[in-house]
Amino acid sequence: MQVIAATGCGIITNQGAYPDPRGEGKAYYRQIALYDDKFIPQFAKIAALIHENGGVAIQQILHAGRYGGIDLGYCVQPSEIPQTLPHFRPPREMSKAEIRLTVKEHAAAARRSIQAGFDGVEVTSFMGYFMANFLSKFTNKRTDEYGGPVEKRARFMVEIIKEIKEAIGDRPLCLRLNGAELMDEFGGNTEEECLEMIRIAVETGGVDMISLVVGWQESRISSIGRDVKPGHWNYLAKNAKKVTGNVPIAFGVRLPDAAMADELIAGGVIDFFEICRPLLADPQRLHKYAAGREAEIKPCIGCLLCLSRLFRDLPYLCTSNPVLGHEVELGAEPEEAPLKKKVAVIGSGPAGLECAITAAQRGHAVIVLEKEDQIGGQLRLMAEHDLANKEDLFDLLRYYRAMLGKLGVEVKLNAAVGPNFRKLYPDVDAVVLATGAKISTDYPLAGGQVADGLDVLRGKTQAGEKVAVLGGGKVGLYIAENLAGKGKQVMIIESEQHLAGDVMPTAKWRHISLVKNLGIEAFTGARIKEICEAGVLIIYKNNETVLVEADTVISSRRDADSSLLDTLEFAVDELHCIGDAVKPRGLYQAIHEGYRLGAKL
Amino acid sequence: MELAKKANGLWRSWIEDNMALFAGLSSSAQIGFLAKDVFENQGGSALILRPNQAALPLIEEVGFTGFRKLPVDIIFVAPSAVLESLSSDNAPGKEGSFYKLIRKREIIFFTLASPPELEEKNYADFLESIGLGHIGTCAG
Ligand SMILES: Cc1cc2nc3c(=O)[nH]c(=O)nc-3n(C[C@H](O)[C@H](O)[C@H](O)COP(=O)(O)O)c2cc1C
Repeated sequence: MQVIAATGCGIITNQGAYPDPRGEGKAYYRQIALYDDKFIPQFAKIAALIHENGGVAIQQILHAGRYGGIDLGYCVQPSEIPQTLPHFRPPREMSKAEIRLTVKEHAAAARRSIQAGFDGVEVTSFMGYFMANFLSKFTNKRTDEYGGPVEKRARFMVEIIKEIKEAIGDRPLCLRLNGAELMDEFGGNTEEECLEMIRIAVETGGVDMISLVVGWQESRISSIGRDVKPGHWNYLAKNAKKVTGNVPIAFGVRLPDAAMADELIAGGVIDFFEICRPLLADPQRLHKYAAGREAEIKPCIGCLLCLSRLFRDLPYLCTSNPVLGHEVELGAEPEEAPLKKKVAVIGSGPAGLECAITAAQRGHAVIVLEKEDQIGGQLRLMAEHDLANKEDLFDLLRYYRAMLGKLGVEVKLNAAVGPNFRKLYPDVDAVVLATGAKISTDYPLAGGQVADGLDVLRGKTQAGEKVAVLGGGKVGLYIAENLAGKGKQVMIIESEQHLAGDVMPTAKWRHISLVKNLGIEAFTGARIKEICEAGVLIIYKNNETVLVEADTVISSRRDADSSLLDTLEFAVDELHCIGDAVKPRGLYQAIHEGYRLGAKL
Repeated sequence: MELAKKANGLWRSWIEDNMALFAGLSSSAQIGFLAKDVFENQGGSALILRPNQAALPLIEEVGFTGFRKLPVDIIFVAPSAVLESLSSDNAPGKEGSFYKLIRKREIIFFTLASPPELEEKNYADFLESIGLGHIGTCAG
């Protein structure tokens, strides 16, 4: 919290607390609660930290409604609308008495926030939480005064506004409201109805800021994921501005670009730039902007590792920022090394680059040795072939380049090393092997050949028109999607029952959809018998031998490329191995391992 | 009424062609299939599939008066036009078009069972194979 308080933000809204002692509002494991005065001292510490850093402190109240009750066997809703996602609890319709009680609980939580020293309060309907459930015609089918046309569905919100205002007097109250629900297929509110709700909130009086959000958990697309181009939702802010009058709008949905946000503010479209994940990725972001050090800002790549962990009962982590959530033991910044060393990092994928930068920040003299003619390793390859938003990954690469330059890290390209290492670099104290993964082409050959999948992505090997990709993990999927995108007929052969086993949960559906949409045929649960001239013979369903015809067979199976471990064992004082060179995994593990080693070398 | 009858027929033939999809479910699993207008008007008839209960009919047509009274774990709802496109698609792995239609929300899915009940009845793999294994758009 100390780190967040020191971000330099003008207003800091503390994460949403659930307001009811039953836990109906609880959205995720370890969510903070505000249903009792006993919590006030802890909230007071947070408010004080924000104030010490010159920020305005707002406490958010988050009742998860349809997505709540995570410790219970049910969730509460205005009407009993079944869940459209298997993860959530079966719904219970609230009685009027229960609604009134929940409104009072919101007001009591608001009062506690102010008692704890917060300057104001926010109530959220982000991602389809409780207030959104009342406002939406999908989840509110009530026939009493809380349901029906827009005005009646808004009644719960209006009561919340009035009761909270009574509890907190003239302290600011913010509401997070949907500009779009993205729930049309389920009969959710239209964008016009969302605007109506915003208008009603403003006209009720007592609302001091509207924070505009987009989408529900159940929506078809993730409003804040990498598939959405930055700036895509700005039109919703423009629309909202027409009905908010003097009430300011805060907005930041898929808006990681501060320059774009500045333009929106200058153009009178929004009043405050809201930002969450980019600050988790780099809490120093604003200070770096202010100092003209934009190139040194570590980007949020929009991968949503954070929220995917939160909803899997795990504390959130950030792919880009290995320190997040571990500031106490790792320190917010790497500490100066007690003994300065000459460090050689072999391999310039994300693990190697992260390690090199961290070690250099601590005062070590670092050299990066890359066998190819560019840095980036698999990160660059994936960026080049990413079908979501390439720039997210390229931004990370740009950051690494800038930091290597700033810290004076020497980078040698086309610098493959082997037994000659000691001769070439006699004064190196520590070697970090970040040599990544290599493709295994070790398959039973019976007249056919297997191409290296990374070489296909590198453009070194050309694929024919009918391609069999061995392995349906992330590398296999990238290869298959890109080739299918070029019009080739592509088949994936995977031994597991499902594709995308090693893909981050938030990206799984994108890959599976691409497979279906690009017409890629997937043979899952298949065992490879042999690679023959005509393609791949597999043992498939019911133990049948099936020929998957192909003119090109490509392997995507990655093995750790750690061969230099043996070569260098007696060549240097310290030898370490990180990232995919230990075991092929993903970007987050590479960056985190790189950092952790760099921080203790 | 006519439309609903047609939808039920289309659902039935799709189910019959795709029984392999349901093979892994437990013997107590029950799935409801509905025409969209029946669902919206809360009246008409629905199909219940009991893929692995030898003692009961495989597919049963029952009256529908609201999902609360339908003794099923999960429900699929689709308009006839969508079901027609589904049954006319004879490409290998029809499951692919089912998946796409669910992703596009042209076929709508509801669950009436709780997460532990779904787990107990072995729904995990089935839901994953039709693209419903995720928690939500922001959480994957
Ligand atoms: C880890 C995490 C926790 C969040 N918690 C809340 C919350 O408690 N209440 C809320 O309204 N939004 C919450 N959000 C949503 C953010 O406030 C924000 O609207 C969203 O992440 C989009 O903005 P961004 O692209 O700047 O991250 C959370 C987001 C993340 C990543």
